[in-house]
Amino acid sequence: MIKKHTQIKMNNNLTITIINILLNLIDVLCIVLPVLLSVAFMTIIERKQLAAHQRRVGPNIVGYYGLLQPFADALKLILKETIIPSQSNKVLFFLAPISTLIFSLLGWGIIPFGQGLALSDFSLGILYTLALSSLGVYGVLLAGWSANSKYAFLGSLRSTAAMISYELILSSAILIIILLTGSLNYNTIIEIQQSVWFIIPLLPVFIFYFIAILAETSRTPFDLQEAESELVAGFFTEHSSVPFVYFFLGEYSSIVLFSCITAILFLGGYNLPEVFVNNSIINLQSIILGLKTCIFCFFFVWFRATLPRLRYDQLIELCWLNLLPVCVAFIILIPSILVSFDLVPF
Amino acid sequence: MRVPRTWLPTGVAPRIPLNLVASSPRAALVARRLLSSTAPARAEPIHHHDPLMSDLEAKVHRKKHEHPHLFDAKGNEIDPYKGGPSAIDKAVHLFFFTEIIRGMWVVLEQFFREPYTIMYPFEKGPLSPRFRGEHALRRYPSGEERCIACKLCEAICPAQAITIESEARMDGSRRTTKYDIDMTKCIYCGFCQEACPVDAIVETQNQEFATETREELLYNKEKLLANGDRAEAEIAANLYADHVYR
Amino acid sequence: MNNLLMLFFFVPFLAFALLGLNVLLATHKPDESKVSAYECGFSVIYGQTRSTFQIHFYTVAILFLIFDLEILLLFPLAVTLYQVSTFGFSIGIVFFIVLTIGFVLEIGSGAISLTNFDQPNQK
Repeated sequence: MIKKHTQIKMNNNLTITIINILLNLIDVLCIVLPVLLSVAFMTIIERKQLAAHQRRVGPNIVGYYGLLQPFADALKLILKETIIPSQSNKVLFFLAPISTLIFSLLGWGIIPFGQGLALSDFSLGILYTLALSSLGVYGVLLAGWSANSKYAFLGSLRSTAAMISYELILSSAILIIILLTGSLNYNTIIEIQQSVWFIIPLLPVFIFYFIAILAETSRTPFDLQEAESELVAGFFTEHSSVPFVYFFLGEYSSIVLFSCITAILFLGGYNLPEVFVNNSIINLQSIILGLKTCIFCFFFVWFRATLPRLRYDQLIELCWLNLLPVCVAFIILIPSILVSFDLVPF
Repeated sequence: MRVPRTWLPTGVAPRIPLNLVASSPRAALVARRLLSSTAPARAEPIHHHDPLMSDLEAKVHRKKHEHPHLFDAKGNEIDPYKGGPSAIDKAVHLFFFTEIIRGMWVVLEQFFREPYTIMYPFEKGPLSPRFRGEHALRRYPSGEERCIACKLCEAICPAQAITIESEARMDGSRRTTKYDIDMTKCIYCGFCQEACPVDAIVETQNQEFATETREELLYNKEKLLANGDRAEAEIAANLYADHVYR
Repeated sequence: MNNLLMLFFFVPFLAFALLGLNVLLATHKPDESKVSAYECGFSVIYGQTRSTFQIHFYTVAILFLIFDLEILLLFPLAVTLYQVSTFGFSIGIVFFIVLTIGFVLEIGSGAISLTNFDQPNQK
């Protein structure tokens, strides 16, 4: 009798665990699938928007208005032959794109899409993001090294140097926001911005921050790794089919992710000023965050349509000699203001 | 800049305006200077008007001679930066990214305008009557082929794409038995139609003759005549449109 | 098992699954010219990779290490600025002065400028 009871209890526990895991899986799928979709649409947005800036039409055949183009591309790339160069390090050759994809998708784990709508309301969210963006360099480095091709190697060297340099600007710009919020949690940062969006008092910092994320995601004018006129395709010259898709997904996923983080840090995330919010009919928070993210996605492509590429030494000197000193000055200035006027948040 | 040693005991600092030095009792100073200082060792000749002249003075003097446009009527130096933007202006333009913003505004303007794209397979742009496309051999209205096998086109073809063989026909006229154009070699220069004395070989406006195999691009006489028969009206119209300029 | 942990398991799974899909569906017929390294128009010259490269990249990496560490060391101060108040802030300023002196030294030594390595006589 007792034995049977234990059996049932164990069964119950097992069932509950499995159900919990399934629920977790559904949660994760609810984040990852829309993210992958948004990444796919980011590629078509980029192509259509660049076309519009250059007064072309862009892809318009596959699906209505060319909307199915990314899916056709993805299908084509998945069905393509994976070429493994004979002189490459085989394991690292595959590990590089996989790590790029993983590190850029993991960043979505702590993004709050609405009040309490996050995979994890992590109290060290900012540090998590910074850590992942640092780890993103490894994919680039490994790809260039493992492919054993000079174009890939040069591309990865340049890209690594640029990415790590601009990481300083990124983390110091974020540090200034932390000074104003006193918390590393994304939700707290959003709540504090209910009075005023940080882009208004911190406009110069926002400009540095945006330059830094342009460089972090290796976009024009800092797309030295790709520099197709000199380096073929940069660090993923040797990668084809699915490994190439991973680099592509990783790059565009980090564009959308950084746009989203920018919206959270500077535009108040899912909140709008009270006047415009009417939560009685439908919860608008996710839609608001999405629209704010779209603004920055638009900026990314707009910059690409406008600006020419910087030379490598200009890139490094811009970072170390121009941006970093001003950033450091801001890191001193802002806490000085806060302390002297007794405005430090708690 | 070298500072003459003798200036220190006389108490005249180098920054003192030059006219002050000029109006001082010169002879005594010159004598002292010549005694106590060595002559300057210079590669280039300087204008030794005045042994008292300091380096700075000499520099200004030389500049007056070499660039007279930099000095006004009174002999004062004109500030070359006077008319240009001030340093503050430049700094403001640098710090507020005005150039970048102007550039981005231009690009944004284009974003809201109509695209120039012609939807090619469905709509086509205009073609000049002189457009040089696929070749054709023409006939007279009687149905007699124009080509008299003079082989001028074969001779002038820079890519050597044309091959002609000829023999006399029963009625005594010379006609081609073989007229081949290798369209893979042809560079569409139009020399053949320029060279032709009877307007037999012409290039039509047809540009859509892509094929799936290479062999289909080796045109023979039948194919060329067929092209001519099909596009005769168009060819005649184009030749008429262009005849003023021939 | 929490959601973040699930994400940590699911994303690598997704990555490997797509790769597996490619292995299953795509053809795989390597030949000599396919698997050789990419080259523009001529055959590959071996030994051009993994050789020495300019030390500038390494210098930038080292400088990054120092400065990133220093900025990360300021994060605790930023979070606890209310608790440590003026005293902690002044300590932070001292820290920053040391950092700035180092930064000036580093710029002055020409570690950043790329041209210095090519032409040591210039400037």
